Amino acid sequence: MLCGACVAVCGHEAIRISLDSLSIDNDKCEMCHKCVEVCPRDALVKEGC
Amino acid sequence: MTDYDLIVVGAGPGGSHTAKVAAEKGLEVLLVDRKEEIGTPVRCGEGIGKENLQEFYDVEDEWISAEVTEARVHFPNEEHIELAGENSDEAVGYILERKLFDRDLADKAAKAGANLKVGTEARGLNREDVHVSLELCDRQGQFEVEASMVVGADGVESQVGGWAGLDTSLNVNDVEKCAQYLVTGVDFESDYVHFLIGNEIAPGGYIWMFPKGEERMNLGVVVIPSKAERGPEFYLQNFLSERFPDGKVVEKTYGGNPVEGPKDSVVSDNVMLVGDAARHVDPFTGGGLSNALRGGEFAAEVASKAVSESKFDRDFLSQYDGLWKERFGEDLERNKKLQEKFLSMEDDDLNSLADSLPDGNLQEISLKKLAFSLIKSNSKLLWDLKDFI
Repeated sequence: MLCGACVAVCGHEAIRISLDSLSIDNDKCEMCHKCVEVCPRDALVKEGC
Repeated sequence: MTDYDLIVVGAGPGGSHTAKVAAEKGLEVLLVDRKEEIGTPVRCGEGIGKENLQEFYDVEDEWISAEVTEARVHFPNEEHIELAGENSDEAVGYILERKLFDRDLADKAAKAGANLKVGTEARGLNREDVHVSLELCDRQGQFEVEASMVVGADGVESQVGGWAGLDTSLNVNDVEKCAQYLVTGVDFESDYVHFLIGNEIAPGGYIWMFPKGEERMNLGVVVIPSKAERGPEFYLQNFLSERFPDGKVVEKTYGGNPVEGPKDSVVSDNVMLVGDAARHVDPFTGGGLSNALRGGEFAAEVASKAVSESKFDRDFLSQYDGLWKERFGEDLERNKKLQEKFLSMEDDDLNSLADSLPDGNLQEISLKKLAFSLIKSNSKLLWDLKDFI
């Protein structure tokens, strides 16, 4: 069960969640990583450095 | 003709209450929730003021895990204050069993005449002339339903708001990151809810301990992204192993709490938002249940008027903005400023605040008196809050 905090901070409507899955639309994602910052369960991680 | 007068997306307390009141007023209502089982998992500390719940429902015993008489706030230097209710002999708050409470509220909406579809996810919303069509999806596949209005009670992510063209995106620091454990086997029987503040134990936020009865408690932590180097669970686990090493965790919950404060408007053509989706969460206490019920009541009232006058445009529905602002708009605004002030305080400031409270250690004061004390110890705050208190 996902909480939706990532969707709430995404200003680009790039994140879709359903009950237990999350998808990020790479075409819309601007790599701001706000979703990573706000995730309460550290489920999202920033790749690379 | 549309299929429904009103579709409510999200069967949390705000959505179910909206659906129930609207159905009682004779509207043709559909309540949908993507969860197959209403009420799980729980997303919050489960506390609500007694009077706030009684305003809308006859309280049923099975909803209540524990009753509390006071809130105790613990400062970093281990001093504490007690925030008492008007009649401090009586219970001022309930710790709910949200699983049963949420399910019962949806049940009451259904019994009032609302149609209910669980395991049904909203995927999108389209305006068509004067009504809207909502794309829904269940295990059988995708389908569309038409309605005069949609209430988005779909929580922090507020997808309905986004689809309706409302700017519901939040700044990172307007989302509190929360983690909560239901801990059992702890020697914690208390008449209080406890809040522990301090930047070491919960950067920018607090730890809460709410009694759940039968040697259980809701132990949670909320932190603010900009002040916390680690996720909330890190702080929660530290606290648990230090204070309650024998406690066993039987449930874990995570969530984002929208503490943005009041928006100018949570209304669009054919659409109103309720509860967390409307950012009706108290930014200072983090509590959202009471305002979700209040907002739901108002949204249903306005929906009912809209049906009788066949007006579903933004202008007409903005009566809803007027109603919630009159009831709790100023509280949200004032408490957002209090929260920001707390966020700017280091532990030394918090301790000196505790010291500056009159008459030493143990205090029984109201939230308003606490605000006054804050102001006395901080002239900048006085300036910020002069219009509100």
